[in-house]
Amino acid sequence: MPDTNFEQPQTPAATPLAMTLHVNGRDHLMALDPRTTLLDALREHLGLTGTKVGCNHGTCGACTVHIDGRRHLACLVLAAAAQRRNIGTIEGLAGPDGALHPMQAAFVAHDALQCGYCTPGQIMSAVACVAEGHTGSDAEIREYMSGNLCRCGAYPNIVAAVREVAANAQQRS
Amino acid sequence: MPDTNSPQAPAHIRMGSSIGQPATRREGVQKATGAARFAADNHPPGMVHAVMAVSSISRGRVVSLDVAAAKAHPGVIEVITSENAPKLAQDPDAKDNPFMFRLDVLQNDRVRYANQPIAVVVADTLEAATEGAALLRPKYETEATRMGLDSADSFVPPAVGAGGPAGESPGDVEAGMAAASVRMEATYDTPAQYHNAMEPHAIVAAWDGDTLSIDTPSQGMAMAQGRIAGLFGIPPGNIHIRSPFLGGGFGSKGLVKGPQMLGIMAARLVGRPVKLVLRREQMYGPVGHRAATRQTLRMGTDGNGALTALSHHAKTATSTFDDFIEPAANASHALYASPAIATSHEAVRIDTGTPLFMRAPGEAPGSAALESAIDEMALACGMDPLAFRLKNYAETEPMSGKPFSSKALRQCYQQGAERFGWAGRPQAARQMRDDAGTLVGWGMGTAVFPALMFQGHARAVLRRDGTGLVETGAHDMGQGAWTAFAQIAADALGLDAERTEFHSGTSDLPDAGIAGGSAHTATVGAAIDGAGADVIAKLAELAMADQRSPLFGAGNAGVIARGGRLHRRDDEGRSESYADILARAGVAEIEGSGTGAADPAAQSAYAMHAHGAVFAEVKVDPDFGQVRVTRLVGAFAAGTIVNPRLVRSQYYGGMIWGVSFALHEHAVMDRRTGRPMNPNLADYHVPVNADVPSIEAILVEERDVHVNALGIKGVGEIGITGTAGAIANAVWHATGVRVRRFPITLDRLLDA
Amino acid sequence: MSLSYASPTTVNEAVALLTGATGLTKILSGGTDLLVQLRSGRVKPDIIMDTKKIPGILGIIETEAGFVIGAATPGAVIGEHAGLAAAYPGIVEAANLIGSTQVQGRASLAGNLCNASPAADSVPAMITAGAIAIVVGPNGQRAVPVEQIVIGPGRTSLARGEFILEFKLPKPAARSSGAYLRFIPRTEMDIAVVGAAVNVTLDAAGVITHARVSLGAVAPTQLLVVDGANAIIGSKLDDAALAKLDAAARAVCNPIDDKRGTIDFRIKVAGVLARRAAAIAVQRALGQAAGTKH
Repeated sequence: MPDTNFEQPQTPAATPLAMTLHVNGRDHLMALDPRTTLLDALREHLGLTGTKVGCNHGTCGACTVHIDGRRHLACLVLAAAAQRRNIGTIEGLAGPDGALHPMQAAFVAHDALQCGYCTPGQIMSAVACVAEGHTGSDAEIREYMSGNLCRCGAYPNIVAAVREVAANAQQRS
Repeated sequence: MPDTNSPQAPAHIRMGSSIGQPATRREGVQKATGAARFAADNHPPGMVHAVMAVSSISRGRVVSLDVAAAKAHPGVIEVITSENAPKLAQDPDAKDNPFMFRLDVLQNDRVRYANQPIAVVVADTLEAATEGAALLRPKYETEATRMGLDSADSFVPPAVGAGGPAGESPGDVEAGMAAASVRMEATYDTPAQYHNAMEPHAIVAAWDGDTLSIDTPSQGMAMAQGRIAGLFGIPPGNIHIRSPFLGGGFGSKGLVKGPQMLGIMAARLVGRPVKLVLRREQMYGPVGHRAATRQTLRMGTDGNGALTALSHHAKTATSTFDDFIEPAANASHALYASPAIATSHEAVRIDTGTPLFMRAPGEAPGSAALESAIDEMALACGMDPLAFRLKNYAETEPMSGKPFSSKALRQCYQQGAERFGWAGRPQAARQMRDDAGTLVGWGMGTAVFPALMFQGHARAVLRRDGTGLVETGAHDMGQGAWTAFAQIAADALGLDAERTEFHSGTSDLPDAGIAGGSAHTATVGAAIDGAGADVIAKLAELAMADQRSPLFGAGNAGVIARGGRLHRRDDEGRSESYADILARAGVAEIEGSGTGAADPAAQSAYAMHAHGAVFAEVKVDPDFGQVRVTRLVGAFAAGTIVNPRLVRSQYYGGMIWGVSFALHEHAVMDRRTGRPMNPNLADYHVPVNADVPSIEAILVEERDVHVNALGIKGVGEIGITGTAGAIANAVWHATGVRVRRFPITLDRLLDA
Repeated sequence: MSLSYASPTTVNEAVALLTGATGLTKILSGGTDLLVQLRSGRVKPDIIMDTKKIPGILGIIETEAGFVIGAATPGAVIGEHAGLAAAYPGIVEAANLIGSTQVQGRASLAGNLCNASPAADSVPAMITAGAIAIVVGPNGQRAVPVEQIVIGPGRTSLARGEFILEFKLPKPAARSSGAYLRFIPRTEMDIAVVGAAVNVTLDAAGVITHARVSLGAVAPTQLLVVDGANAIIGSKLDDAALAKLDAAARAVCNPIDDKRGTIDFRIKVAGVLARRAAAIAVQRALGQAAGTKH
């Protein structure tokens, strides 16, 4: 069953555009201002607030989501342009039973987070980083995790979490 | 490889207790799943969006705004300017205490700094509010901008930092300089810096009659209640603040700022809940920053390398309309022994937003300059930088002459140097290269931060089912306060962590003071410890007065609380569970309360500081001057370590701020317009993951029986101190070039 | 005002939208620059045109004649194309440097080019590869060398209604390769202070027979440094040739002084980077001749 809008604006600003977004395995029918970014669509209209606004400028990585399995910045994607794509957010990462994704568990275990604001973006990025195979060394992990800023300075622990998940993934395969 | 394994608890902690255990973050799973609800994640029914328009000039007045164009945009509900903004109950420029900062909340058309709010547009959607704000096209009457430390006459401020004296000078510095056989004098510049927490300042405000409910990140909810109450003319108790998570604060969320007031004002005006979130560039003005400094250090030593005089003067800037003076020179108060020390400050008024506390205010820039100067002095004396520091090791606090409550700095030096491998360091610069021909340098710095306490309260409850509850309106901005407090709470109640419920983060709980000054764990920890002692004492009274209890007649302080039972101190085999005591007494629950605050007697008797030593390795590209930090080892002693896992993260974070201070961040100000030229995270550089090397933080054991009952000093800010200087000194050691302007960028390295 | 979103499925439909009388139409390629410009109010389009449904605009095709890269192909796809990496490693290197990995998931060569920033990473590498842009518009199709697209900061030679459909790269000659290097103050996630790309072809004896050299961020547009190429053609990249290349690279620089780097610093870096890039390119070409993989 497709979802309807989280909340309809009372007086539409521009001519709303009807669109369907496929997020975390579910279709959401919505009518949005064409200027709406995927980031604002997720947060303000679908109630998926795990994806964060840090800069709205493509520079901090806090809004990292998966589109067709690749990491993207939701602030640089128009919602309209994300139709017919598989959008994954932090809310869809854990299993249906609530079991944490190994990357989520590793972030908690390694204290790879402090204030937690950049964390959803870091984790989405880290999951993609492992899938891309950019985990050959600590230096490579650092390089490929550099699109996600952390002002608290959890970087060493983030590298440790990614390293562990990558090593476990390799053992399994 | 950084050591991120959970370390063993040091020996001095209460074994078997929660304090000292490396528990993972209580809210870790919430944060890792996106379930943690930050202020801007709230969306009450009927909520509308507010977007600020901010000034593009730094001095003058707003002459006109195209309010009609904004109002005509579909979806726009209201445009608030100084013309129609409701008059507040209190002048926002009133100042009753040093923690009350003047706010710009549309009460007049004056512009006092760039990015000052000049209007608020409220609309049904964020897109419409954003567009409406863009349609305002402000016109200004512009006056000449004053920007930079030389743009105005300076003055000696009446106070610096949070109210300390602007100058102190025990001993005769000039006599000491005259008597010295070796002298140095150098001037160091540090830039304006912006906190740049990842979470922009945000508020969701909803009025119901005269009561106000708000979601906003706050490092001090009770103070925020007081300030809002004053401005809006309602009792503080009518204001309910929820601040369960802060997406970083670093001082910028210590006090509720103008933009949040505008969100509250907008909500009242439109009669609906309003969300107002700052855009990144709007954080470069109304929400504080660290002011630039220019510091002059003068030192003299005798023939053996012992200091005869130390003088530290800092010039800094504040706004034209308010005072916050970065107390940079005070960094020289506590570290190096000298028969004569003089510290002093002067300031200029420029057209910026008012500077504010930013992680290690005063200490961060002051330490960068002092530790660089000490390195230069050691070189002038022909001494190894570590040997020079040990030569001038302070056995008592240099400024006051007081003994230290504890000081394990020698052990920090020793353990850090050993781990780093400092012993092999050649004394001259430009002596080391790696296989690729890159220049390698090693430097060090001493870290120090005062062990402060403010005031905070907590309540503790024991329930008949054998569980306990501790509540305090504390703030977790990522430092791990909740986890540490829950651990302290479990010990305070003599319960396992699983049986201890802990609530925090809302303003209806006991006032926990402010999360700042690295004092929150010590302050609120003491309050929790006291609340636990209070409720346990009440429980013990119930038991000891009851003939049916095995504890009957145990006498005053005759019991120990552990594992949910009270034991007789003189016969631990005689014990009774909390549940049994309460059940027999027919009481559902009992409650106690506690207050944490500094002990004035201990404070007057002892100097209290956390200490550390930081060792850095850098590599410098000889062609480009590109600097990379490749290794950092910090060793810190900060009294009782409540949770080593989270404390290590604090040290890492602080040291990374030190890397940032040394090499990356600075606000570039346009001297003609007074506007920051890099108000975004692409151009205002903070370190990315690849900028951060292998880091180690050694937790040096230290027991302090004077600071507070739990022996806790702070850990949140000390990591920056020492680190910036250590990196600067390593850059000199690699290249032979001494850059005295932070950050050390490649053009400065090549130009020098 | 109203703003609409269009996603044409043919070139003609797109050209019609671009030339229509409805006001300003902006092309959404990857969107990494356009969305930032939209939010800052720097551009106020009436139509945002998403080109990604136009056939051929996404993806890489390897042909007998070389490569055809769709204009909206994201950097990440370019970075993972093995054939392209073997033939033009400089382009792949540059594509891997456009912003973070997340940005590379969207940023396209056409966007990087048409945004007309002197610091755009992919442009010098495309210039040295001899890339030709296939431009479509109301008057049909034309082929334009990449170095002729950008004419100044923020300005291109594209006429109203025109846009880039794809890029064509020639099949590389035997024993040829390339490299792109840039200099940034931060370790990652930064804008080039200077970028340098070099492509070389060697003869059987290892002598350079063809070369192209291009610099970024040292002038209002990316430069094709003909003197730099001439400095190394006919040599085996000995010290004298490298010195001449360094001098030629410095000579063409006309950079700006800004907070990222002073004029003198940029000129110095341009010379050193050109040398280092040439050395890598030659090494790769030699490695190819020896049959080793890079």
